[in-house]
Amino acid sequence: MRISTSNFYNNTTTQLNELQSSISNLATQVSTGKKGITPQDDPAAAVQILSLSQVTSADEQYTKNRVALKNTIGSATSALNGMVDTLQGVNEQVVYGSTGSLSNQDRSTIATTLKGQLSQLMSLANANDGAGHYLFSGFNVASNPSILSLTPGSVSINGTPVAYEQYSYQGTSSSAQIQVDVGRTAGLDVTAADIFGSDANNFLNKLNKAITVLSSPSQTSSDAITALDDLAASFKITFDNVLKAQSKVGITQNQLENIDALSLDKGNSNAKVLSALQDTDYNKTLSDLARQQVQLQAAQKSFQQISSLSLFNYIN
Amino acid sequence: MSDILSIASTGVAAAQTAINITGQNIANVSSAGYSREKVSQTAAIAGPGTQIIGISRIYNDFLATQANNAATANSSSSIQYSQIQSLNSILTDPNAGVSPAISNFFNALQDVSNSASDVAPRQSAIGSAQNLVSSINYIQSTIDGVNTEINTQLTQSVSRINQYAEQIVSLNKAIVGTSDQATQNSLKDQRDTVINSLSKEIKVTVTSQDSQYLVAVGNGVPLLSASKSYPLQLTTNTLNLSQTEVAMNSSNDSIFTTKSSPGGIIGGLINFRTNILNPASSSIGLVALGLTQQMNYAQKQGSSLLSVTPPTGTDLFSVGDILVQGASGNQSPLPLSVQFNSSLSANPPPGSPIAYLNNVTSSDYTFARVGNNYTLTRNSDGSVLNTQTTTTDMIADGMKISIPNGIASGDTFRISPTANAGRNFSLLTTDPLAIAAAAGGAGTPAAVNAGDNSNMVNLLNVQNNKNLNANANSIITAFNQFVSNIGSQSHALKVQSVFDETVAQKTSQALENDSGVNLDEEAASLIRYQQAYQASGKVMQIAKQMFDTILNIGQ
Repeated sequence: MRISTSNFYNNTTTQLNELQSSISNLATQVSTGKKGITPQDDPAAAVQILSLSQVTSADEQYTKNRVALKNTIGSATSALNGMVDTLQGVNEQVVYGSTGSLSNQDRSTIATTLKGQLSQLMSLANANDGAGHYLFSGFNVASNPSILSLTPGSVSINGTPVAYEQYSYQGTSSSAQIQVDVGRTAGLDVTAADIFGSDANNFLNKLNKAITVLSSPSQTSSDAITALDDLAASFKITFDNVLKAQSKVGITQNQLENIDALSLDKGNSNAKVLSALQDTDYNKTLSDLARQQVQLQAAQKSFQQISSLSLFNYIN
Repeated sequence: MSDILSIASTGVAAAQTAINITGQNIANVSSAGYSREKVSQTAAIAGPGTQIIGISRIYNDFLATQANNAATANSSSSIQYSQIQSLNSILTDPNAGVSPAISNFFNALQDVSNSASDVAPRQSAIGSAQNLVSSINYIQSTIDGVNTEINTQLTQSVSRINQYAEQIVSLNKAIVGTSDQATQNSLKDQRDTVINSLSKEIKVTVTSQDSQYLVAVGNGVPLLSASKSYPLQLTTNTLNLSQTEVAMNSSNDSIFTTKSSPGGIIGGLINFRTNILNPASSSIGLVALGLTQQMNYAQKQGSSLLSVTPPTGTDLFSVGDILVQGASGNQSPLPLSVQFNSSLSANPPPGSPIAYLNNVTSSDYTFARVGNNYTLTRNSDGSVLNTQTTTTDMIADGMKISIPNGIASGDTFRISPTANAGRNFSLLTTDPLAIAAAAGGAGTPAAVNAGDNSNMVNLLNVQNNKNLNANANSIITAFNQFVSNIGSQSHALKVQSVFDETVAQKTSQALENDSGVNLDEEAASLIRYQQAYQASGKVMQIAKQMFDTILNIGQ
């Protein structure tokens, strides 16, 4: 076949250019560690990379959400443990106070102890997550779950009504639900009202009523027994509520940990697929690079040799 | 004796001419478009000796036509491939694209859900929303930039085509105006080079008539006769004023379209704009529309923390309206009013007011009155959605078209439901308190609980709700589909342009191998004609010796 001289040079230049561009592309893959896939190189892979990145990003967010909820549960668990301890202390005082042979002075001492325990329970019921969000107020994370009521209660001591401070729940019955996984939400779901009751007969009011009676110099033994019996009855329910709350947050905690484990597996397998799609396959790339370098060298050398062949060399 | 000398002198003269031509060929070994020349030598007809009967130009019209057609195909696919690069490259940036911006926005909303009473996560959600808006705006402005670029390139291409036409006409005249064969050959080389350049702009059909070229472009549009050119014209699309079109004459009716693609750069650009760029704009618009309508609807389901009464959530985003463009030739100046069907539904609606979203497509529509019929056609598949003779509202594909009385027969409108959506996509508020995280129905700001995140689920669900394309797509999958479409089209163009380039190379090589100079061949010719020259010289010498012998007889 006849080949024009300029075609010979053009063809060789084109081939050398193509080899050089291919080598440069491989070198970029080696130095960046990425295949540098754009949608045109592999439309399906590019969309898969996008989808997996979206899934991974959402999973990372769910993990972040679970960490936040676990922190809340952690703070709530310590507060609940504190309530158990304090309530047991209250119970000891109630049992001691209910023994018949106590003087008003003895009961006034009990009242002082109970007052300390009431203030402890108040502070536990108003516990926050460390960032200033109240734990047991439902949606009312920014306000106290229990505050002093505007309408004081009244208790009859030795036939005379005596006023005492009443507490009422200021929060909401529902708590914030946050997304912990695809299509799954969870929340703390424990409020101060769940534990102490939400009406005027709540445990804290009964406790304060008992303190008011036991600290009164005019109390009769029967006043004291009535107040303590009333408190003891409420104690059983409240103590039970705290144990239930402990078990509820424990179950949520377990569920979150299960999701963590599954999400870790899923994350690992997504990361593997993503890596296979977009990261450089060093074995293949380096071997291709070496092969094409040899090819380029050979092409350059043969170009040099062939171009020196000319009939003009023989015309003197 | 004188016979021998005259024979030898014709031989010397012929060899000299041949060496001249060989020298001309060698000198032009690297000249683009040069066709090698060859002497044709025969025995002299009148009297003894030899003669050069012609200097022929080695040029194969068949190979040239093949090379020109291949160049037309190659420039069409390669210009489309280079245009789609600007879209392809911005779509998969893992850090800066729309896809991570969507993820970041919804992740930020999750943080709001985690602590709805805090301002910081709300602030960062607003920041992410701004990023999302600018990432979609960026794609849209890239698309608009490509449209402007196409207009510029069409203008430049038409100007080149018209220049080439002028050049061919004057070369035609010059070729018939000279009798010198060498000059003619050189002019023909020039003319064929111009034809090859013209082939890159548009499909060319050349007819040769008495060594003059008549040229038609596209599918038989005359560009020039032997002595006169008919320049192509630039015009504006009557239904889309942002699009430059190429017309065969000053009438707008004769523009080149994809249906009869003119090929080359012109055909490639028109094809790219119609089949890739405009659909891309509408697809990204559908994502923006879907996000906006669903987020705004979810906002209305909840309560914000703003001190307004009632504190019901307000729109977060806004998108461009449906684009309605009356043809510039319409007899009636009356505008056509087209709205999404939802804007008319009662509030609160019986169903979801955004149910129409599922019916919205990213296609363009043509509304026309022909005779007494009002017709709506979906351009993507050409299906006629509605034909009626009355001016009652036309409802189709999520739109409601209000037909004014007085539209004339023949009047046409283009309706693009989503083409402007991404272009005017914006964030309506920067107030972090505007995010309606709390449950709806609160009558006063005081009734809204700052920590209430009950409505966040509605806002968060927008990420994955399949409310687009007849429940087939969420905003994320609609965006992924857009990326996938651009990717597939880009991939197809890459394959096509590599193929077309190879064919263009092979065919132009075949032409060049036939017409181009081979130095070894010329070296051989050089030796051959040098020897012929020397031999004829020798004959002269012998004739002289013979003559001398006769003269010496007398001595």
